[in-house]
Amino acid sequence: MTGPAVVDALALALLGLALLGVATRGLVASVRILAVQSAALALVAATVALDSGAPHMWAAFALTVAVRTIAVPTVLLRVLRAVELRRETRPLLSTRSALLISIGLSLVAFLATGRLHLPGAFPSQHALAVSLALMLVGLLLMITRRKAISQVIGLITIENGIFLAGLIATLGLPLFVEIGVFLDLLVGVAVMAVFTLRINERFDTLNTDLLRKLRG
Amino acid sequence: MTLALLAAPLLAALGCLALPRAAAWASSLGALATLGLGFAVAAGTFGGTARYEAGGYVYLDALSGLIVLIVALVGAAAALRSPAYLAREVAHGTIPPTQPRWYYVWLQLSLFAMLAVPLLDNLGLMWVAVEATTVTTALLVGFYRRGHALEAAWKYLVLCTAGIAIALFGVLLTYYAAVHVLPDEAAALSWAALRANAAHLDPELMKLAFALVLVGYGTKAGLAPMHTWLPDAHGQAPAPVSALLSGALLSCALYAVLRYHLLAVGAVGGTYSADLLLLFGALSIAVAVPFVLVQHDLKRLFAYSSVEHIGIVALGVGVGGRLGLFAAAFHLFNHAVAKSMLFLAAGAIGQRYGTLRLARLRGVAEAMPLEGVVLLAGTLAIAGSPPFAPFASELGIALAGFAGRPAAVAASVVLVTGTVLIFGGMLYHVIQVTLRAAPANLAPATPLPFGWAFLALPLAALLVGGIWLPPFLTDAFTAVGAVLEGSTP
Repeated sequence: MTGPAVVDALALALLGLALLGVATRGLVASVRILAVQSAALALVAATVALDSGAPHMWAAFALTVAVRTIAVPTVLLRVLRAVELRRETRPLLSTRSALLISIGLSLVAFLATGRLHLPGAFPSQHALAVSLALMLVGLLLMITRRKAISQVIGLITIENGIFLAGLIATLGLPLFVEIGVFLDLLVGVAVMAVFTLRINERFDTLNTDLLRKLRG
Repeated sequence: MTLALLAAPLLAALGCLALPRAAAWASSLGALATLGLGFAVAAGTFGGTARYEAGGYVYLDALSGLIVLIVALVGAAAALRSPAYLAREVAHGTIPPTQPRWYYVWLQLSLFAMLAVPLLDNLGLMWVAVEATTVTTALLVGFYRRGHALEAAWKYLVLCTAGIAIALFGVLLTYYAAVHVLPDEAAALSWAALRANAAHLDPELMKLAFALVLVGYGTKAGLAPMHTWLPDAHGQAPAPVSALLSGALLSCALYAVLRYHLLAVGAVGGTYSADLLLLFGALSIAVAVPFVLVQHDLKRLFAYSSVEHIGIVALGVGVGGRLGLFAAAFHLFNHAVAKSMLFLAAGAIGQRYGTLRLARLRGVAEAMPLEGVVLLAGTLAIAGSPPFAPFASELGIALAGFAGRPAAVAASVVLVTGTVLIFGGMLYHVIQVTLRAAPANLAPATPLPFGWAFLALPLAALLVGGIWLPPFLTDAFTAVGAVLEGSTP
């Protein structure tokens, strides 16, 4: 298999994992799916690195493995262990309709990017469409889920989509910017974890719908 | 000197970590150094020529200088007011005595991030700095660990991180457009290099990139309809932090939007990005009106007024022209000075009355003369009454708008109508708060030390600035206007 074919296969796997995440209500399982999603993203980075021979892509690969695949899921799993919370209860949409909408959003992403003619730095048929789909699905997760952890998972799904688009379009951002972006992601997730714990301690729940007192 | 400016808050943060008992002193010392160095760095930019520093990582022009000046002023006021404010919170039992140390660490780190935003030339690193301001200030917003503060901090963190992610996509598109024009990959995100070659960037890509950046950074700047985090965060944060958010943070985020506006003008031409700024500016003014009129909380009142005023500045840049841009720069400065003063006054009042509910705040002028006068006169000033400086800058924007293209005229109608309605609403609330009889069971007065320096000085500055603008500031706003007009090299 050539590089672009591998990337296309991985991109479709990424989309499948995102949809699986939408179908999953268990929070630990959701975090594990997110970790696998990030691992697939790291493989995309490795393939692009092998194919393009750009040395800074190996750094991007290492950062993806270290931050997205290992550090972020570890932090989230630790939070879950501390708060004894297992399931996303009462999301705004039922699993079935969330899944249907996600599939619809993915189709929209494929149609929209099919019309665009954007020659990327890396020739791939599906990666750009998948990156847009990941952003849309992540947004849907953020809007419709109520547990703080699920909202963080949605946010990271969006960021994974942006990272994938960057890999394909421009072989990522310049390395020193990329390092900064990863650092921000890591610190951001850590701070969100801190707040998740405080919300839990304060309200005895991770439901952000108790956080609806401030109005007007 | 620029590096010293960035080092000052960083060293202060380290000092707070290393010397927990002297954290308040370390933070105050850092704030004074930031103030002095910020003034010096800003003054060096208002001559009108842009320059590189620190091996090309730092790019300084008058627009960066204005933001540095605002962050240094507001940051110093917030940091220097904090020790007395927090000491009282500890005395009231609102927070445990060990907690303020962390406050100073986050405060100095957020100052560092806010100073980095206007100084960095690389648009990718600027994004990193803006995101860093979100993380550090979120910890300050949620500093009171009670329910409402956690709600506000969570909303702020999630909304602004999502907004920033959208902005990152805009940065990526800009990079994608740039690599076809600028072969050196490090230069491809350099703002100055992009500005010089903006005419060669793909206009369709840059249109999309600007729209994404406007929505993304606009979320942090508090532009409607992405402003929903802002009243909660400003309302629930400790008062010095509210001052910092309103005066400095919103200005930083708007700065990032304006940099992309200049790129979009160069790449797309015409009034594409200016029209979008007019639209979001007018929308922000209109959205603020009902919430000001029916407001129930003093700090939220000022927060919605911030949504309005960031909208006015965006609108002024959208109007453009020499007068419009000068007035927009002038207004950004006026808003930072007036709003940080008002939030600090609100903080002192809230500590005395034990509440910020407008219905229960009465007789402030009688019970706390300094705060009462500043609250009333400051509200008159920020609501646009002559002879204060915000009146002059708003008048400049409106005059430029009515002389401009049809879209600018339409936006100016919104500006004038909205300002008049908000003037009425704010003044009604504040007159009730200041002039009616004070409750009998009020706690005895123990004024915060140096209250005049944080309240009377900025008020005097706003008064003088409305009548006579010192040449230093005239030069500054003229130079910023020239940068925004795209006429400086």
